[in-house]
Amino acid sequence: MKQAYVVLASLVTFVIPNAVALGVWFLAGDLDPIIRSLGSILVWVVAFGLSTQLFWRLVRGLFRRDTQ
Amino acid sequence: MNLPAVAGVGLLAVVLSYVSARYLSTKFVKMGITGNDIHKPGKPVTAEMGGLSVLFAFLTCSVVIMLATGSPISPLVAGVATIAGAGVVGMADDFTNMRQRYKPFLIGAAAIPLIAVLWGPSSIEMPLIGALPVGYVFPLAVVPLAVAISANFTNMLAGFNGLEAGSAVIALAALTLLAALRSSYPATIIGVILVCGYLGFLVLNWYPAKIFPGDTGTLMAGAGIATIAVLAGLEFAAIVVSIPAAIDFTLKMVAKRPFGGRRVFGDTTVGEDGHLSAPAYPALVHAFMRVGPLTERGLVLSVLGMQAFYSALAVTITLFLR
Repeated sequence: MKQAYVVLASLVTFVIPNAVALGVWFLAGDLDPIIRSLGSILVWVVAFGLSTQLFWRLVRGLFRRDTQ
Repeated sequence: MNLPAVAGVGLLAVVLSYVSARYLSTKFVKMGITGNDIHKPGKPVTAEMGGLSVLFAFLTCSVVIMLATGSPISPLVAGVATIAGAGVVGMADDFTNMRQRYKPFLIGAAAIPLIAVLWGPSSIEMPLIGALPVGYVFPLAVVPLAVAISANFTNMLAGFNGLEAGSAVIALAALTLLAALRSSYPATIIGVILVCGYLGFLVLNWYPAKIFPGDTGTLMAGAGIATIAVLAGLEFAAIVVSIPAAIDFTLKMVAKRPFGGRRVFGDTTVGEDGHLSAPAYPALVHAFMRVGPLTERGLVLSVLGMQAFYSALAVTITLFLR
C-alpha cells in the first residue's frame, strides 16, 4: 500500500515539533514556569506549521502524479 | 462506574441515531435539505444535516443517564451543553451557510459552560515533561481554543462518504478508553454516547451514503474530542488523535490562498473507472490521491487507517510514556 508513505511522512511532521518544543522546554529551565510552558506551546505550533510544509514537499516530491 | 448503565445508554445511542438518521435521510430529501454527492457519477442528491440524528441521540441519552444517576453532575452537564451548543452552531451553518470567520467565535462561546466548571489555575499533562503549569490561561484560553480549533479541524477534513463519522468514531473511542482508564465518569459517558451515536449514523453514511453529517455532525465531533480531553486531562492525547485533521487544516491555511483552494481549483473529480483526481492545492486527501489511484471508498479507508494509527499512538503514549 503506497498510502502508508503518507502516514510515514505525517509521522515525521508530528515528531519534529515535539522534539523542538521538548528542546526549548529543557533549555528554558530558568524561566517562570507559566512563560516556559506557553513559550514551548507556541514553539510547537510554529514548528508544526513549518513541518507540515515539509510533509507536502515530501509527498509532492516523491509522488509526482498528474493533477487537474 | 456502573458498566451495565453505560453499555445500556451506548446501545440506546446506536439505535436512536440509526433510526433517526434513517427517517431524516428520506424526510430531508422531501424537504429539499440536500446536497450533491459530488464524488459519484451523476452526482446523486443526498440528504444533508444528518448530524442532527447524532445530536438527538446525544441529548436524549445524556438526559437519560443524568436522570438514572440521580442528581446531575456538573462537569457532565457542562460537557453536554458545550457539545450541543457546537451542534446548534452547525445547524445554523447548515441552514444559513455562515461565514467561516464567525464559526470559531461562536463555537468558542459554546465552551462557556466548560470554562465555568473548570475555572481555576490548572496545568496540562505532557509525556516526558509532566505537568505544564498554565494557570488561568487554561480556563480562559486553552478550553475555548481547544473546542473551537478541534471543531474546525473536523469540519475541514470532510466531504467523502463515511470519512467524518468514521474518523469521529475512531478518535472518540481512543479518548473514551483513556478517560475510562482514568476513571473520569463525565468524559467516559460523553464519549460512549458520542461513539455509539456516530456508529449508528455511520451505517447510513458509509459508501454509498444515504445521508451526510453536515456541519451539525462535524462540529459536534470536534467539540466532543476537546470536551473529553479537558474533562479527563487528556489534552496531549487529543492533539495526537487530531494530527490527521491538523495536518489537513495547516496545509490549507499556509497555502497561497488560505482556504480558497477549492474556489480557485475546483472540486476533486471522479473518472469513469471511479478513481479520484485531486485538484492542485494542498490537502491531506490530495496527498493520498497523489501517491496512487484511489476510489472514494479506498480514500476513506486510507484516511481512517491513518486516524486509527494516530489513535493507537495516542493510547500508547498516554499509557506508557508518562
